[in-house]
Amino acid sequence: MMPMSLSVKAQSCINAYGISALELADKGTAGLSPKEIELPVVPGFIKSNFSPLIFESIARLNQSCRIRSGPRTAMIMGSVYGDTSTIDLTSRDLVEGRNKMNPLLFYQSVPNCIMGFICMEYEITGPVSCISGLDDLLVPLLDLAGTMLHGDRCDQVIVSGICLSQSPWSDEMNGRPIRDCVVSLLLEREHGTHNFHPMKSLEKTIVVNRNSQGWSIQSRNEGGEEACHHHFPEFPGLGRLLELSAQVHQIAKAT
Amino acid sequence: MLRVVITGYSLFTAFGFGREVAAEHLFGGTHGFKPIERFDPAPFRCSFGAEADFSGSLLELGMICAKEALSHASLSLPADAGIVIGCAGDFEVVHRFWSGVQRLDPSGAHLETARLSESLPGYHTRAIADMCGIPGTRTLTFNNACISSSNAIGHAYDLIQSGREHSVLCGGYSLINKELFAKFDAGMAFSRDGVIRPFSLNRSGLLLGDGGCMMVLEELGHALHRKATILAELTGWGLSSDAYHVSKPHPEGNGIAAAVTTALKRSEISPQQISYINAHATGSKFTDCAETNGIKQVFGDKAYDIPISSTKSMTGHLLQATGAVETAICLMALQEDLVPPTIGHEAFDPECDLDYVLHETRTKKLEYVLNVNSSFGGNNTALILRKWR
Repeated sequence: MMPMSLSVKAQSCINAYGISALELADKGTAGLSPKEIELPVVPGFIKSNFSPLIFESIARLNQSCRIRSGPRTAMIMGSVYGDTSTIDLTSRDLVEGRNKMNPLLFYQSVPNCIMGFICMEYEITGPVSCISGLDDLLVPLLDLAGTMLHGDRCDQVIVSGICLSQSPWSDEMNGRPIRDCVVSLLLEREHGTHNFHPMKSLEKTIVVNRNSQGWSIQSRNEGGEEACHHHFPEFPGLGRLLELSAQVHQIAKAT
Repeated sequence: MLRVVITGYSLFTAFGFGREVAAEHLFGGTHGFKPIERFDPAPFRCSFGAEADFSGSLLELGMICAKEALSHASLSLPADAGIVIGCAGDFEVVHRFWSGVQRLDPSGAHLETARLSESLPGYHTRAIADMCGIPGTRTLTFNNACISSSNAIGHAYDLIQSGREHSVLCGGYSLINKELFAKFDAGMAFSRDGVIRPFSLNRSGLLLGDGGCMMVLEELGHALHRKATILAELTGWGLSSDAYHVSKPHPEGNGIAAAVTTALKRSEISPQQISYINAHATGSKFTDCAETNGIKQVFGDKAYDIPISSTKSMTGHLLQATGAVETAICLMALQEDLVPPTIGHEAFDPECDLDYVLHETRTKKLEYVLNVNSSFGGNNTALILRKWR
């Protein structure tokens, strides 16, 4: 396994508890109640939080570190259960005999559609992929991002992991209710050679290193790992993404 | 630079399992469209599709395709390979879950929930990996719709070229089901006359088809060392976004042009060296001319000299399986020096004026062939194969 390093330039986390990734990592979710997340209306996407969550998460990412337009920016979205709200809406329509479903549900049931909308918004024409995983999404997302960055196919990769609440079959498989959550990270090659000036730059950045054992989080100039002491079974697939997001948030606060 | 070759593959289409039966129909210019039998299509505007005679589940199809590909590549189990699959998961299972809830039947609900995992694309890859004796750490699942399996093949190429894997089982599969049918019907995407007419002036939309293809990609040295039969070389690929519209392609084919240009660059060949293009061409009003324009952007006047065909005119649109199946068709074309036709074309469209190999298979010496695929959101892939000598 070829070692590689990526630099995490920015993070965003939107979750059902309305607190930051840093607070989640620090305090966990015990004693917290989920609440309605205020999200922007994304034209053409209805009745499900999935697409607005992804859209808003990337918008917040852009506020802290400019997303560059063009063919050298890539996006990867990952999820365990996908857009369960839309899946349930369309399945229930059929089961209940409503064969003429809302065509907007057709388009948004395809994860590429919101990715395409975001590409339009930020004029991204680089590689875009959607992946599915059963376990933690950090490894496949970073592996794919690393392949793109170190293969010199792009200079920035946005990775997002997402899960949605209120679907009985996914809750059943998960073993407990899932809560809405999306985590997005902006990644670049460590020691990139390009001239990139974000709106705000982090003097210290989180570096993630890949070896044969997997990805490990390393804060630059500090060394070692800062372990997250909570698990988040209500956010399937997002545990280590949250941990990484928390560390980036911590560094950003200190800068 | 490490080179990537194809050493085995499986193929499933409306014509059944097997490379030979597919070749017979594809090079024979016959389509697989007929009235849908798997469910009652009466509520929908369309009642046709390219269904195969297969009553198993989606996961069962994936497992059959995977086993056959490994067998064709003369690889035994447990396989020492990565797995990358393009798959949407089985919506039928979710549909039956809700049917169980509706019936409030305890034993029915239990039956539906037991197979719920099959709704997850990632579960399919894990189950197939388990069958092949491959650890989960060497798996990845793409679920970006119509480019899922071509994205899977492209990523497999990257894994091998970067030295992270020496062999990868990759591809995708899809079956027509009522939920998918209802969605496409809601989007008014279906053809109105029971066939697909790519590039034809009177084209009216697509039809769905059953499909599946898994293939074994290997690093060349690894394949030579174990004396594998090399079928073709995968020389490069590209992945791009149109940044134009949620569901319509860029009218000038900008995203397709970008993906193809990347594939050519990575293959280190010029556009003039492409001898056949398998187009995505779904028979939809906008996609066929957008793709034509994208091809013209890359190839210029040379575009008029390259045979281009839409095999969806025979197989139907295979969704997640499309990229892999059409890559396999490119491979068969390379091996036989035969270009499959575009059938169903009836009337000339001035916006689609390239050589679409209408109606009949053509004999032609092929060296490098290109497979193009696109999906909603303006996501595009291009894969280039080279004849193995």
